[in-house]
Amino acid sequence: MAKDHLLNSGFALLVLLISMPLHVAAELHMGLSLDRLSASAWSMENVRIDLKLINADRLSIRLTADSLDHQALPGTLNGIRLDCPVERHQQYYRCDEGRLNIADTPYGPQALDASGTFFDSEHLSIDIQGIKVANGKLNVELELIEGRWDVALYADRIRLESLPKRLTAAWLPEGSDFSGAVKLSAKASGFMSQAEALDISLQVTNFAYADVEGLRVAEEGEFRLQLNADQKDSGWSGKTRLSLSKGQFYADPIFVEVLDEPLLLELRGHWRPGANRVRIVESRLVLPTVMESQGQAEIDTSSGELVEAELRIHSNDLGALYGVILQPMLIGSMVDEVEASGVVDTEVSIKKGELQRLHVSLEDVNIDDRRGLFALYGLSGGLAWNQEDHSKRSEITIEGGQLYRIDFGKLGIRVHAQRGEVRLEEPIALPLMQGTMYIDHLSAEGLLGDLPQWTTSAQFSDISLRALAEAFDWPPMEGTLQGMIPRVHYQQQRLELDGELVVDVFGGTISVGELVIEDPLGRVPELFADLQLSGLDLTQITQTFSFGHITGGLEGEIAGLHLASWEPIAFKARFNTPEQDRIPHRISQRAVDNLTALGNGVGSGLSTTFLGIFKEFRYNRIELQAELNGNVAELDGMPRADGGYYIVKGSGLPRIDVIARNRQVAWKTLLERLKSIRVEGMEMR
Amino acid sequence: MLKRFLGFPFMALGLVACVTINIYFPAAAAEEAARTIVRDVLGEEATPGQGKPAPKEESKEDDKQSSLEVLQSRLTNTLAGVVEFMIPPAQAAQPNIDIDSPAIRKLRAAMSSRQNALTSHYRSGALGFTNNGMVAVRDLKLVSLRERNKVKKMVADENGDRKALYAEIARANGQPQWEKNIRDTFARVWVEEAPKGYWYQDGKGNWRQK
Repeated sequence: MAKDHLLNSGFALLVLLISMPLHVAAELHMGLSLDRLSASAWSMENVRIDLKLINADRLSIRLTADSLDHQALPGTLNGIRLDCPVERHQQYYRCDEGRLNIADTPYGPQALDASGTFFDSEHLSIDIQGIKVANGKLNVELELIEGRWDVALYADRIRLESLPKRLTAAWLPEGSDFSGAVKLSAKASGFMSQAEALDISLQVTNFAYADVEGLRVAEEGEFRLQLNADQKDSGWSGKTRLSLSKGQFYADPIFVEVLDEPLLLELRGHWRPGANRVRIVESRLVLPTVMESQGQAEIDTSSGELVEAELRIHSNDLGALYGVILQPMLIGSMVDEVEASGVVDTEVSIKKGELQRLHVSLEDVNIDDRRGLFALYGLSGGLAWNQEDHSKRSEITIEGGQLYRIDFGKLGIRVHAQRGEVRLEEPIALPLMQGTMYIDHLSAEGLLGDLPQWTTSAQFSDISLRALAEAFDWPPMEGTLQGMIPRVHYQQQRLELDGELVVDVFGGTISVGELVIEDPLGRVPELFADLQLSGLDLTQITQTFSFGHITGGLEGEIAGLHLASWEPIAFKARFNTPEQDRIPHRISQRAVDNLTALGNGVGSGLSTTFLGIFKEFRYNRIELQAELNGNVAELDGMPRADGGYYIVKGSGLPRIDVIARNRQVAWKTLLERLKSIRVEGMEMR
Repeated sequence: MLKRFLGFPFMALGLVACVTINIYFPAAAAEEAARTIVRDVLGEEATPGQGKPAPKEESKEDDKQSSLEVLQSRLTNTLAGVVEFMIPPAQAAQPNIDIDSPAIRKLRAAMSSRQNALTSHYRSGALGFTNNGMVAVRDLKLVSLRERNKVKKMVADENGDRKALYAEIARANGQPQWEKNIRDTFARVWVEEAPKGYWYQDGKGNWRQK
């Protein structure tokens, strides 16, 4: 206020000088010198005002000052001289061809055209053209009518990089660089010291910006900013439109390149500086081909917190949305390398900076992990999550997918999600490897905290062994398996099975106990388990593996099984025919050959001996033990006095015994042996 | 009397025989293993011969570490040598570091296949080797805007693999608690094997150029 008061006093002085009675015939000279003229916001040194009265209607005014400092100016102005030929009209004075010369400004010397109209101190207009600012030109127009004022600024070819640092330091982080050419048209109007309306149109080309760390960068940018605002109820009300038509923009971690269509941001709202609040009543953000969002928000300008917001985000191309927005934010997580497509519509509600409600509707969404861990195809439906209690459930159908390398078919999921909990509402029937997996229970807790965990239980039936073998590159197998997973619990990257996983296969059961998988989706998943085999039928197994025909029962165990990266590192396995076996014991020539190869590395070559005429032999017992520790496996069977061991102990005539001598074998070699086993004219892979 | 006199040291020996043999970290073997892997990953970029052999001081410390923990009596101390002779300290002396597990092979392959894409960023100084055996973005500004997220993803993946590699080497050798020592060994070897011009962090975390 004080500033304006003194400014008005300045005007009053001028008024005093030129409104003196001018009814003089001869030329009149008047001069006024002041050492210093100052107010709170500005000061002038060595001011001199000369008036020369030419006739009754004409006079010339010259104002000189050594220097002028003003808060709003980027630096001191030195050597100021204003020459104004003034014409007197009926009710006003007019200066049309005034010249304002300033010998030294932060932008070099200025020679400006100045013109103005003066009714009285309450009614005047000033127009200054051609101010050289930052390599460009600036024109200023000011009109003052009884305390009401209008200012218009027109600037062209202003170089941002040439603006003095003092001016830019206030709104740019320290150490940041920026450049560009600006075209500006701004109008402001107000009453006394109060601005009332603002209308800005800014066009920037060749825009570049980079902060010190390179976290916010713009290159070759081109944008247009329009802002209209009016003062209303102790605040401002207005709208703005930012249109980025060209360039590359990086705001860590998001990179956007604007090519054909502009990136658009439109906001309409109110600003109440007293209450530190910005209320956005309407917003629209368009990222061409990526997404479009609309919504409202309220922001606390003192803390920058989002007090509340309701947003709707729509994307016709989840792939683009993932590539531009989601993937950069997910780098380092499980889902930073997926291919995605489909239509997504999201409604988000935020309160006090925290997500309150999230509804996502999906339409034909596909997500495919490039590492091959999982894939989901044809997702449709809606996800509903709320921070507070609610009853809306999420329903999603999935046309099919893959987990590890296992394909699964169409399924429907109905879950209820609130806070950090997700609970299955109805059992899922998952078509899996020509059979079905029923997930009857699935619940997750603490998903928002540091210790997310989930538990599930499932049963499976008629799973095709052929499909299972194909999925894991195992030797071809035939048959189906049934089983049950009592309760699986996942916490801290550790998947643990409570109880036993029982698989009915080959006429008997394989039960898996103490199953733990560490970091199942990580780089080096580790699996620990103990397996018990009981009541298996060798006839079915050997048929399945095309190993050569063996009849008999089979039991055994694989204790301390340890896999890392799904490859065995340690186990202690034993397979043998039961003591009291009800099934007759017969073994085919090829099976003998294969078992021999397994124990010794070379086949028996039976077919080349006279025994080649026998297709089958009787046997008493088969037993094979293998203990793996690191890279070395130790083989064993039934003990023999001479240091060797039986793998097959024959009976009857002709009697065949398979006796192995070597115990230690490199695991790689054993795998080679398994692979080279002859299977019905083909090799196992 | 003589019997009693002779009996005493044997009794003491028996007492001393219940020693704990601690397998301490085999620094030299670990360094050799690290060098093999680092050279393999860096490929043509590696500067063989530049890497120093394990410093003497360190192996001395290593020896000191691998001595046996014995009962703290003067007598038992003098007998420690005898015990060492009688209980062959096979594992404690020169254990090998196994780097041939399937998981290690997979991790090495993944790192090797990524190396080509990372090389130009190591050379430009955008990325550098940290003092804890990882890779970090040193100066993001040296990466074009378009490439930045690709580079950040590679760094995340590389670090994931490196972390898993150190843990897996420790695990494959049956000593998960070695992870930190292995990581430290690698941290040093990555820098030693890095070609001229690469950036690395010194002990205080300041970036330096080779």
